[in-house]
Amino acid sequence: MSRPRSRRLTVLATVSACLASAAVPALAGHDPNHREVTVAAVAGEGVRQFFVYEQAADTDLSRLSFDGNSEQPFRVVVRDTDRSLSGGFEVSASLTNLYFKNTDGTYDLGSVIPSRNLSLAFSPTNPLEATGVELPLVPQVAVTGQLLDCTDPGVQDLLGIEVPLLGGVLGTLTDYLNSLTGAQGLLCDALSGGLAIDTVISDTGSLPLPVDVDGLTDLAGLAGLADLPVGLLGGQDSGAFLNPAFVGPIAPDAPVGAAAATSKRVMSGTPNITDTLLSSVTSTLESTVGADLLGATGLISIDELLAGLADQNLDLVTGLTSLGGDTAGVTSLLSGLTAAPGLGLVAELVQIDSLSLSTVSGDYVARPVLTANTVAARPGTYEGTMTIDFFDGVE
Amino acid sequence: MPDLSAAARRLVRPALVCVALLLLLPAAPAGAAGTGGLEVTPNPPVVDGKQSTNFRVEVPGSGERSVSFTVRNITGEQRSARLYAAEVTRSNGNLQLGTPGSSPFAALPDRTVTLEPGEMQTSSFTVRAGKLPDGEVMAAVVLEVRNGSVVQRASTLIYVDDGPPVPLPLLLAAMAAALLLIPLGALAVGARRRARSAEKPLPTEQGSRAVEHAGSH
Repeated sequence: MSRPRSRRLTVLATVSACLASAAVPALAGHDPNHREVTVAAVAGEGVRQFFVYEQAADTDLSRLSFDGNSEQPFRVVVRDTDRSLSGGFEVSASLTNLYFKNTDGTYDLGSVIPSRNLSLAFSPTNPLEATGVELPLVPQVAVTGQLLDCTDPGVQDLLGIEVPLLGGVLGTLTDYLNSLTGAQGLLCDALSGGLAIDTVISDTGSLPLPVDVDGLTDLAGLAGLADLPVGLLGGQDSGAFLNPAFVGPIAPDAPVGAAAATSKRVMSGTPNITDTLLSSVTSTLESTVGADLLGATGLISIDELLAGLADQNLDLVTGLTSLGGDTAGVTSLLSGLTAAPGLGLVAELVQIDSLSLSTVSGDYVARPVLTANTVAARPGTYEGTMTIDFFDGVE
Repeated sequence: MPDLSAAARRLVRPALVCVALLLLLPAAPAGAAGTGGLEVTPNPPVVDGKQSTNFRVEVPGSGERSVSFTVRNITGEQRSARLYAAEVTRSNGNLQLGTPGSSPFAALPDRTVTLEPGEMQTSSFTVRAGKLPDGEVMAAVVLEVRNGSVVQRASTLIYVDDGPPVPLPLLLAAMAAALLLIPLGALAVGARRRARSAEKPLPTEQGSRAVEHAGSH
């Protein structure tokens, strides 16, 4: 073998190995008894953005302006859009001292309201919310069963087979079936001896989980926000900002020996695929799609079912298609097959597992309230800087 | 492909199938995070089939190494933010961000990044060599946006780990190989010299006589 050929071979082998290794994780874990027919991408560009908004509107908070109760309420929003279910987040707040603002716009760094005179609190009734949480799903329908052979009277009825008289003598059904040609013969050949069907058909869809705005979820069986796909944890820190931060344009440099700024946790979330969540999602999906899993209004169309069956036995599907003549005929036939108890196919929704969930969308909202305590200070305007820190990718 | 061997031809089809399979695989979502309409995405966005939502870097044995990421404007208007790296520590259970440039291991020049709608910009920070202290060592790539009296800082965490130690047997094998190279090198040099001397032309008979003649005088 010449050198260029061997080099080409090496390159090809390397490419093949790399590609194969890249593909293995996607193929691993498949049950050999199940064949997925349609798998579609449901993930897009995943984004997690965070916002600091005014209390009532989606407007960036830019001023610390206290009302008659010396309070400044605001909202912190972490927004997931098709975000992968990996990596948690934390949000915390810190505050500088407030410095007296002179009439010429400069600041008197000697006249301050210390940060310890300001504190953070959270609404006791509504400290955290999750709104618009959605999980894109790839629901799967498992079609299983044992189709009996054509000698079964039930199958005969469904297929419209009438046993004719052969030469004036009642012939055996087998004789008749053997005489058949074309679609029915093909179908009965496929059915003879029975045909085990065990197929899983996937469909692409996005299941919006109805999560209400008051911190309680509508998902059956979920205890609260901690059970969400991105579980919102408690542990919000109330209390005073004992040590000031030194950031921003007024007093950015910390004096020598200054203690670390007091940091108050506002919110945190962590990916959280629990059995409780999976059961709840499955129940929600079942109630959403109802019992009609197959058919024009069901989760899986007849075409998808036929494609799924074709994956196992082409002859059967050819027979069914030819016999039905059109989609309506096949639908009717399959409806009969699936409806006949003990005779036909059984369609069931596959339990949602962690592999079915890949991304999530939704808003996670905290409603802190910054409060200024009464303090003896020189009358005038004081300004400072509040910093909201958002950390992503927390493990 | 007439010049390919049978073995090569056997490999071509599986390789093409692999390419087709990869094209059919679902696109993995990125794990981007940010604020003010800008976001940071680690590169590559997917590692071992999982989306990268943070950076996990190893400190090099010496020098520094570069770690790439992408900054993107996901809005329909021009956006700007301050971009830098800083140390991250835990205090009373909460993560705390240090000042720009405070991380001894992750360095990223403090600058303002301005992007047009939908624009992406590839950037990188450097990981410096050094001895890691005990415990968790973290830093972050930070996007900072100021709105009046409120500063929003979105930090994509960098987890800093020790590089893998060189196994002792491997080290010994490398030293033995280096020692072996010395005599092998000497042998090679000797052989080359002998080959060169053998290639030199022998003195001619006339030349030899001339030498002898000169010597007799």
